[in-house]
Amino acid sequence: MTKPVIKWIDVQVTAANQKFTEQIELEKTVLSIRGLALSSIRNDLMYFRGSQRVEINRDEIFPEGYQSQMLMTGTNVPLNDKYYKTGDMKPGNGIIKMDYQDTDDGRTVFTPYSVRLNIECLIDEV
Amino acid sequence: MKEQCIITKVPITLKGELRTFQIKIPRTAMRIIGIETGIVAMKYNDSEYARNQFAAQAVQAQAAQAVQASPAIKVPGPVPVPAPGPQSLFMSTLVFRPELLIGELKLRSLEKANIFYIKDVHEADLSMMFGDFSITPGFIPQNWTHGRHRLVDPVVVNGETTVIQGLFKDRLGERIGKDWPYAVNVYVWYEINDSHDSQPCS
Repeated sequence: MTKPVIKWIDVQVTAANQKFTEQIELEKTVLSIRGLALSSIRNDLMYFRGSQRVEINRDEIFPEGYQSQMLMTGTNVPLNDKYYKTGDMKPGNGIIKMDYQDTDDGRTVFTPYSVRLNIECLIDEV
Repeated sequence: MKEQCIITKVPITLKGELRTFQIKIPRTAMRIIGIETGIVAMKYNDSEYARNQFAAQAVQAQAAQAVQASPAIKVPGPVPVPAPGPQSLFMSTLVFRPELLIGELKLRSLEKANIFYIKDVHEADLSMMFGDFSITPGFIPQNWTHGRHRLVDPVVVNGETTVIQGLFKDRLGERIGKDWPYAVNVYVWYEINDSHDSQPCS
């Protein structure tokens, strides 16, 4: 019996123009990773300033410099469509790592914010 | 098969600049499957772009002013309900602002003739709030609230190519009549043969 669950990585962006790294290790019951999506408490800052590198099981999914706005969706997007589909990706060692880079682009004024990488997983419900 | 991405940043500094660039494709690439673009490091000032980009804030301020000017209807409850002002917020959304054309991107494989990808690059949808009756002073539709899910533009190009040649023509600087520094990110997605297994490793 399998069940979809959502895991996430929170990155606290406390200073402008710096890189912040966070990672989690998924449980062994996770069978596959099906999707990724980004959200933030300050979507406007993440939209203009953010870029990130994401790796799963040491495989690079998004390279450094991939803009956060490419992985954002608005409120009018159905929940099931919000995620970037990774297919049924095997979690491998289960370690998911995100390097989030904040870059000033002149359109926003920095204030501390947090970024969340949402991970849609399929777990084995024993 | 596994998908990977190459990011190439194309800096534009001059008005109407025509810039050529090359994207080196790894030997492991089987085929190129998609292209995306993004605008970064765009500075703004009192030009047309800034006025369009931040028009939403002006609408918000105007709406707040209209709400303050209009008399409040007294209702039994903690929150007073404002009557519609002379210029309601909805009416202010009925001004259509077309997307600004940033530039034109063309890509071609060096091994083949002809261009396989051409795109008018736009930065954002400036009329996100057009005719949106759900608009409130505290929740103005923006690209990060009402934006759709971005999708890759699919292309089919043989991965045996070693270099993709690109050409970007600035249109934003031409339109506003001055130099406007920014950069265009070109994302090239390609597939590689994922022969190794992805089982747990230490």
